[in-house]
Amino acid sequence: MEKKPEKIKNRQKESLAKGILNTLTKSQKKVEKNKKDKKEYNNTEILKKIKKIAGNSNRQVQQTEIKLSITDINKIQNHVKKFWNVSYAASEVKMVITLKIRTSVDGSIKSVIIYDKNLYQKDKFYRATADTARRAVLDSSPLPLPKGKEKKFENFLFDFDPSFITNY
Amino acid sequence: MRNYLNSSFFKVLIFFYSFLISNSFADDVRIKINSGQVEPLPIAIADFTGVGGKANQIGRQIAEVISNNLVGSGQFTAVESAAFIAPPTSPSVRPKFTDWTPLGIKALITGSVKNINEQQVEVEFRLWDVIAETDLIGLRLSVNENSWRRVAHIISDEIFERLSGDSGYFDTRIVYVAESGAQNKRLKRLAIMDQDGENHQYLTDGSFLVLTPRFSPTTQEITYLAYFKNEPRVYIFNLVTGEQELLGSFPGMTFAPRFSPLGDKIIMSLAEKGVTDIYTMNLNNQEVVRLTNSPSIDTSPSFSPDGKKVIFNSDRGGSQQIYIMDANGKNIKRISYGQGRYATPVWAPKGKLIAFTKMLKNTFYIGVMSPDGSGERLLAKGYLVEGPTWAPNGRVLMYFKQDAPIDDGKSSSVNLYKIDITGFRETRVITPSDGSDPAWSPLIPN
Repeated sequence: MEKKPEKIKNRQKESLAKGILNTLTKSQKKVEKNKKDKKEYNNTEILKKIKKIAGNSNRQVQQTEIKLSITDINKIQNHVKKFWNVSYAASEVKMVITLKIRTSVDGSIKSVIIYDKNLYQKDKFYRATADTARRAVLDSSPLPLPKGKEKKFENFLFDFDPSFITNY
Repeated sequence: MRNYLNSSFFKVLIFFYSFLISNSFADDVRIKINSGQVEPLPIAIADFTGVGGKANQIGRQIAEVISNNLVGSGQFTAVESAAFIAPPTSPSVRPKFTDWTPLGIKALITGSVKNINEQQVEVEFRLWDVIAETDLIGLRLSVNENSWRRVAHIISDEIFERLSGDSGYFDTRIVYVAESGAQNKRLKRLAIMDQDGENHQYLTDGSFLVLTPRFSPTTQEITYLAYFKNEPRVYIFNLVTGEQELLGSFPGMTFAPRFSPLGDKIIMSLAEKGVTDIYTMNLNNQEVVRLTNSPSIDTSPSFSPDGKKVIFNSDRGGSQQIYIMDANGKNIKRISYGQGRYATPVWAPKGKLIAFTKMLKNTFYIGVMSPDGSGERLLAKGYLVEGPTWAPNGRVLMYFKQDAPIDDGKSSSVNLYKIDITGFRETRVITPSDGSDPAWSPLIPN
């Protein structure tokens, strides 16, 4: 009879040991789970942070996905070309003159920058013709921007092509 | 990780990402402008300010010459000075652009004249872009006060080049045949003047007949034809020394001597035994080379600017037309196919165009075409218009014009005119007497 309790004791010991082992195993799993939770928390936080910081640009991208129609472009082209008064010496310019434009929402020109500064310095025909293009843009302010698409024209490019002047 | 997120490096990365997105969006809107106007540019030329009566007067005169030059080119219109709200006081003072934009002015020229000593003046100018609100070019020159007119031409050239891109042509001269007296006893003298008709002087005294003066493309020399005791002679006149050199006497008939682009040869036509052909003469060794050999009349030869081709007119096809050939006389090809007769072809200094005289249904025309004969455009017409000559930049032509005889049968006067190659503006060049057969000089060396 006395041995029984020993056996029990042994069993208890075994179960105790198993329990301890189980507890130990469980606690290890818990640590891993905690680590996973922490990782998930961090990723969510990073995403939140990115969204918070880059949120404005995402919104811009969504807004500027609005397509411009041919009518939108033609309206601006027809408006600006009325102001482009070019010398017939522009027939010497064998390339397109690109201008960087910044406009306000109401279409008024905020700035005009002649893109190819190197050529502007070196080539007298390019320089004179680029000046006529710059005057045309400034004179044409405000531009007839399509309603609801003004953001598209915050920064954009004009390509002035003088190849229509021939035989001079 | 949180530290990384909070670091400025990460923020920079995100900013760069946003910048890329916004920039690619900027580039996706490109608008092409492929038409516009070719019209005179409205400009304002303020009187050049000066301290003292003399400087003031020179300032006014310089502004007037610049205005006449630029407007006369057909590429500019000048707004009346009476419309100016507040003329600038000095070229170094930035104009109030809002005073000028309501007048429709695109470019403004300001300047000053200062006395340095009793004879020397300092002339300064500045060209402003009224729309871009910036200065485009400026220049300061110290000269003898008697040279104010030449200074005005040099300034005109600078402005013309900056606003159009083309070289100017205002600091140049014209040699022409000054005619006077009755038709049956016409006095024909060689005369020279500035391109605007000023500083006129006679180079010959009228004791012999002169024809077809032509400038050397490289020096201040003129070749011309003179009849001495009814014998045609080709001379070269040096404008610097005033000396004349006889190149040769050519029995029979000689026509229209003209320099080669390097100035080392002259090309002309000679009539011998009833046929007229084209010849060159080497100015160093007087060697004469025959280029054409046909029973027809080949006249008015003119070299291409690179010296590789020659254009001339010939009746070899039945009517008078323009032909092109290699400089050695090979590969002769007709280029004019329009109605009427063509004469006096002259190659433009840049080589892209050929000016000519055309005769159709009792009317004369001055026109231009490409060297392959395409793109013919008629610029001027009249009872008699003839003898086109190119300005050195190839944008303006001068020629002579005569109206129909008046009722009493007398010939009307013969005058010089110039026209820009758009045909926009034809201007008479005032000469003391009748004038014909003009030739335009290259730019005068400084």
